[in-house]
Amino acid sequence: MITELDMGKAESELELGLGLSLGGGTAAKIVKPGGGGAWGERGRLLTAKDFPSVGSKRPADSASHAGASPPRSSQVVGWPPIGSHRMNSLVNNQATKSAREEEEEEEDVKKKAKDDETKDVVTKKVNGKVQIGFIKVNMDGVAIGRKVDLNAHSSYENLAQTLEDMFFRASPGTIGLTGQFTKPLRLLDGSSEFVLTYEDKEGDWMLVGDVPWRMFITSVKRLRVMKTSEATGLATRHQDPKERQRNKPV
Amino acid sequence: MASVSLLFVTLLSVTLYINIKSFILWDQSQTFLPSLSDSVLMDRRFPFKVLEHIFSFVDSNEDRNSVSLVCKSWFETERRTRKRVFVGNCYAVSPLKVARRFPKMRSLTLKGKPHFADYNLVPDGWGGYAWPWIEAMAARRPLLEEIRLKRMVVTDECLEKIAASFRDFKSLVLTSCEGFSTDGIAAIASTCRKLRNLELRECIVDDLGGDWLSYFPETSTSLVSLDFSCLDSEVKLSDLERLLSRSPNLKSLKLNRSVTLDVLESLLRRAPQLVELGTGSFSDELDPEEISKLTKALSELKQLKSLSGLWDLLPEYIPVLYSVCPRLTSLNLSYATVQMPDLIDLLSRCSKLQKLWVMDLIEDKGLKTVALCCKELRELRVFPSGADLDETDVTLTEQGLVSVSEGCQKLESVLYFCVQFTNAALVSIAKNRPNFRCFRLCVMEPFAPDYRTQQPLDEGFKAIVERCKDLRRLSVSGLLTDKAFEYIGVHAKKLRMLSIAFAGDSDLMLHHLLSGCESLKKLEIRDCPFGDTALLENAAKLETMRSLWMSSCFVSFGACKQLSQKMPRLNVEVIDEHPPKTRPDSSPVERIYIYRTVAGPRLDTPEFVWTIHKKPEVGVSRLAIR
Repeated sequence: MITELDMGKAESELELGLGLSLGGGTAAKIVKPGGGGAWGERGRLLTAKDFPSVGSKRPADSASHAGASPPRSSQVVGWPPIGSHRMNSLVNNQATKSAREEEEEEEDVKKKAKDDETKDVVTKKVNGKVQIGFIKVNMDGVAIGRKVDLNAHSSYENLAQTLEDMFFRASPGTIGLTGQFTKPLRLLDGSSEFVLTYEDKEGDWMLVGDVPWRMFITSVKRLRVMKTSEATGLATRHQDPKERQRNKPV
Repeated sequence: MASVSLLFVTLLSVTLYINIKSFILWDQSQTFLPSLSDSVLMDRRFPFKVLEHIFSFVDSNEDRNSVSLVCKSWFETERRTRKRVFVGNCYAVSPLKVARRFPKMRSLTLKGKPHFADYNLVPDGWGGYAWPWIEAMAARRPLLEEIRLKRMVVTDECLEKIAASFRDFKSLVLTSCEGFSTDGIAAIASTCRKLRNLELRECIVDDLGGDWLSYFPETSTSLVSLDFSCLDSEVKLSDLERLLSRSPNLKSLKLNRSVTLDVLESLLRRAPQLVELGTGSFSDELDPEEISKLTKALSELKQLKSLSGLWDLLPEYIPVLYSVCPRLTSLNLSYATVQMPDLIDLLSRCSKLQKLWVMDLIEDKGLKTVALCCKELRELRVFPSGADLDETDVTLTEQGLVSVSEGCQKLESVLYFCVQFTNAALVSIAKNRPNFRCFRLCVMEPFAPDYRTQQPLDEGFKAIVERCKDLRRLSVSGLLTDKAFEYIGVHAKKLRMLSIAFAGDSDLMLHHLLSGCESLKKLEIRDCPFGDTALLENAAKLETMRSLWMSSCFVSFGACKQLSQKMPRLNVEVIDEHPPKTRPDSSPVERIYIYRTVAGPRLDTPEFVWTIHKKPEVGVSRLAIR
């Protein structure tokens, strides 16, 4: 019967900390694994210190530390443990709620005199709304689809970077999912072999980048990294629906 | 169980009387013996026909597994009479062996991916393919009538194969599956003439449109249950109306969100015999006449016991549901974004309710109403609405669960999401309800201590496992030390499934569990600070379990190799989405999935899953690769 385990040896080996597993997507920060397999470079095991609001009601301003924020419980992959169907439903609820509330707030702001405080309130509230949602990303020619947490990104650049890391590995000379050595791409500016597209709520496939980021994340259903050659005729937001019908990709 | 023991006693005494030399099979029940001819079985043993008749009363597969271990003739008789086959891990045994063992198989249930796949912890492409099973059954068991799959990858080819191969096919139930499109569903609908059940529960389907519904032939009248609630696109109303009109046996209908409220009345009129109804969206604007018609249609559902769907339920439509409430035994409000006062209005009329799923919008006050009014309640699930993130005031605390545990004497299954908790509450709950079989508490703030005392929740969970002697399933959360797991190891003797996240201090935690929980079958752990030592010390335990999942823990690659070498009847899978170029023994692994198997190594692992069989030079000499 073991009452005390010999932890001495184990501890010295574990000293450098453990890689933070981030499932099929990304979250706040990921430190890319360098050579040599040292644990420290892969991030840390989440501990209580990472959740500063523990033990007290979650303070409103913890949400506004954008870049340097510790991972909130909703940004950790797979936490809280809610199935994806339910998660997506929550996203929809949040989206329609925030859309409605934003409309109301914008009206309020217009009514009042230009007041810095009011503006701050609006911004703060917007930052405080956390939407939970992973969406699937597929790439032409790659069998394995991935999932990406839109909420963990703040802009198209951000998202494109993550996707490039995911499918191509930005560091030169590494073999990514495609199994080839590749140079970093620019998915957003049309200068590479691939473009980033998405399917919206109506089922249409569109080029990513035309609409404001926040509008994008409420309407996107899934992403696809498509070969530029196949992407001709894709709808952009500004086309009228009739044209869109004609141009639907086969 | 009592009736089975009686059977055993009877049979045993009879066999002793006849002076048979019986021998016990020490191996797992999946070891297959050469079949014995009927004449041998008849000779000096209980006649096959009599045994067969007795076994026909043994329903539970667990009992049947025990029966099959008694002696050869019991094994033979049992296997020839088993109709419903359940395989909890599709990689634990080969499809061919299962097909051969059970010639009378009529129903097959399979589970694929580990449970944590539901929370995106298992990368896409890991496995769980239905195809090999469907292919094997199509070739050998063409009389198969029912296929139930959970967390498996099902392609359109699979569905087409089912439609083409099983002429009496009656029932397809897919839960949390993916990989198929509505084309595959159309194939099932159009070809399976005797189809009774078609249920897609929370599947990820490539939705190519609502045409699939029109593929049910005009002659098909056999439908008993239809669930397409997870699909997105609209089905044609006329198709659906006609289908309902010609399906007098339809008992369960679950619509998807795209079915709007204005058409619901017309559908219900054609299916007044429904026992289970999942509505579509409940938020369109109806004029008073439409509302009155809908109210009447719902009141005509005299057999209705279960209600779900109710997406975006508007408070003004709650009175429409009044008529069905008194009969309801199951109510799923977890997609209904109504507030507490409206929920109270509804729930106070549901005196027969046994199962309630709701969001935290119900608040403590709403749960108090449930405690007062729903005395038959057996299962409660409270899901987060995200409202707390909105900073709107949703007061759902531990008190809500305490009230329900006080008021609902029959409560035995709970899933409760809450921001924080206290030991005192857990102790009360345990005292009130020692009859819990399933207790899943998710304190959403990782590492959250008892918010009143700042202590870990060890004592609270201790009370739960001490008092609830019949506990089969437990999920723990909040701040927990190794002590909590010591308590669980000591007391939770009937526990079969345990889920842990962000807990514990050291390897002792895992050691307590693996050495203490006798009935443990499934253990899933994430983000806990232990690994190698306890795992290797308790390796033998792993063969008595279905599976162990560990992610973001301190397990090293070397330990995985060691475990693989030591335990040939386990498959040890290392799942690393970003494997480093070199893999020293001390390097940590992202995820490890270990399960017992008699099927040997998987042959369909993707590149990001490592097993010892992939790198033979690492040292695999005793393992025979089949």
